[in-house]
Amino acid sequence: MRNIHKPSIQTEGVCTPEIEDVSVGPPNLPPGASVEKNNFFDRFRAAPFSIQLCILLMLLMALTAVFAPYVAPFDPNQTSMLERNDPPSWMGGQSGHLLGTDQLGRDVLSRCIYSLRVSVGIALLGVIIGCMIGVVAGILSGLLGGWTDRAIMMIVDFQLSVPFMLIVLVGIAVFGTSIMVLILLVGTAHWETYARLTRGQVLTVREYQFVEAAVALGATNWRIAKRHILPNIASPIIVLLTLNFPSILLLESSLSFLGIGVQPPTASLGRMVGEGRDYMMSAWWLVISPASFIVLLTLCIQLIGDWLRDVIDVRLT
Amino acid sequence: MTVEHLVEMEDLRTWFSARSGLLGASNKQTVKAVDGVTMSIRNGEVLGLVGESGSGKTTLGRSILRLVEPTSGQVTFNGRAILGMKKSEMRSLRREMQIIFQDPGGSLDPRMSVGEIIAEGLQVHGMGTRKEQRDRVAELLRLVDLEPDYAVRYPHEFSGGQRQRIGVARALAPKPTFVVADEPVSALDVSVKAQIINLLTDLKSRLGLTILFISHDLAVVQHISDRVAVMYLGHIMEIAGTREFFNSPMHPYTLALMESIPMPDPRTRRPFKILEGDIPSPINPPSGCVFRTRCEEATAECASIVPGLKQVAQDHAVACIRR
Repeated sequence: MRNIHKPSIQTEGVCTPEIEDVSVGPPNLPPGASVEKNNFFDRFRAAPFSIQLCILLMLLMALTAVFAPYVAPFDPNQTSMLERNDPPSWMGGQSGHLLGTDQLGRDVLSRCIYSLRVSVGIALLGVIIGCMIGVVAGILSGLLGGWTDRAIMMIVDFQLSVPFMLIVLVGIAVFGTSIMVLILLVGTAHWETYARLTRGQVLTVREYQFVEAAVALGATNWRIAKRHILPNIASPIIVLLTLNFPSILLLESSLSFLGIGVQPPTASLGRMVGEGRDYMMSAWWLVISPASFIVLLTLCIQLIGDWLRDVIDVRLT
Repeated sequence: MTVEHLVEMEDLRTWFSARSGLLGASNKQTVKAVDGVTMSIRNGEVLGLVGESGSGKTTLGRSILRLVEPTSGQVTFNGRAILGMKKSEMRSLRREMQIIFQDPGGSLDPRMSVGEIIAEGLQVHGMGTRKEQRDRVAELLRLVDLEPDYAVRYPHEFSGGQRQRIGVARALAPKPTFVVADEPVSALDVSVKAQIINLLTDLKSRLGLTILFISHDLAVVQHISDRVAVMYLGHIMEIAGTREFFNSPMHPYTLALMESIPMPDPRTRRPFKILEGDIPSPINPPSGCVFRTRCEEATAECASIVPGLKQVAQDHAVACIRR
């Protein structure tokens, strides 16, 4: 199990008196609660410089990915046999490609931009799918207990005992290689870690007295799960989410590298690294460029996730 | 509708099964936390329930509210049998019976503002519009001597005493008629303790509450209760009106408890010995009278006869074969 921060309910006296509203607050504002004084922009300004930088970089990358056709200087699939493995223009490249060209003479920068779209899209959807399946399974498991718990945990153990690559290979053999199939497969890659984490957290939180108080007030299980348990287990899940995102990104990359992920000529970051590997000695930019994108992305997300955990925790604000 | 006895317990038993051993079922044991309690709480009174740690007093309080499921017996609330009641029916009945917890920190959801915490009961039972709920929260905060502005703050910003007031406000929000106060002052320091007790006394008379006040502190119980019941190993040993109880305690266990009240004058002679040892395990309670292992007056007979509560005076019952 990874090192996950548990909600330390008993933490006391670490606050400043002028505490602000929380973002985890339910959408329907309760009586007496003030409307959020502290919106995202205020939060952003209060964040450390590194986080601001990360957020800006993420925004930039997201915009680039969304508007790829307008941003990319070249057609990513336009080959040119005369400009093969041309170095970046600032390294003495002849054809004026900012990050050079690959073994087929395609513009590396444009391919990276389009890859961002594919890779981040797959990883994002995959993480969301995995998180949703896992959290729902974990809450059901922890709250209902009994045979529901045993059944869900059996599936979890099953998944943990089978190499995931095998599951993916079977999945691809059965359903073929399309982006949709890839997203679904990648999404089911780590749901069991969410399920286990969530279950453990639910088992802890449901023993707290405020849950008993809610029962005493006549709250339904649904309400307790939604209002009391979910907000109190949110921060470790968010941390797991941000830890997971890079590994899903890399999973997609490795699948593409093996040739069972994204199919050519569509570019993905992992696929570019894989293809560029053969030319690493002569044309390093083929590997370094997409690899830098991967590093930058994963680093930003991890840092933002860490920051988010602190912000979401009311008691640490 | 008013009834004389708001809450009645009849032969109430709450047993927990504790399994041990490598293969689970091999060693099934039963913890008899509450074992045959028959008692009633009168409308509008404060019944103090005392006993040492492990006597089952907290379990009894929770059993009455069905926060733990009793094993057998019956609890009647306002003339309605609540054990065996459907879940939805029970949920709506919970509006009328509330609980104040011992740990004022752990019983407040750290993710919710004070306003949300207090309003939860109102929301659960659909009491009033959003605006009315907000007004009610302000009213409740004033009722427990807190500022209405505190509604937007979070529990960790408050001191222990203030948190306990929030807990009280939450319990009172749906206008209950019966409140179980489970050691509400045990975690507080002395001056704050007095404030909370005065608050409870005040609220009781203003709102006409019926309270089961669970405590291990006889001095506190004497101050707040109309009647006092003593519990030991899941059994009620003695129950009497407060004055009667403190003037002429009867049960050997009660006498021993009285001895444990600290005296301001160190030269005062004590006629009885202080209780020694620990309360026996509720997994394997002594036969006959459960107190006989620590009782100074125990005889051979005590091991075979389970004493029932018997009336010894007006409003005074004792479970001891020697009285």
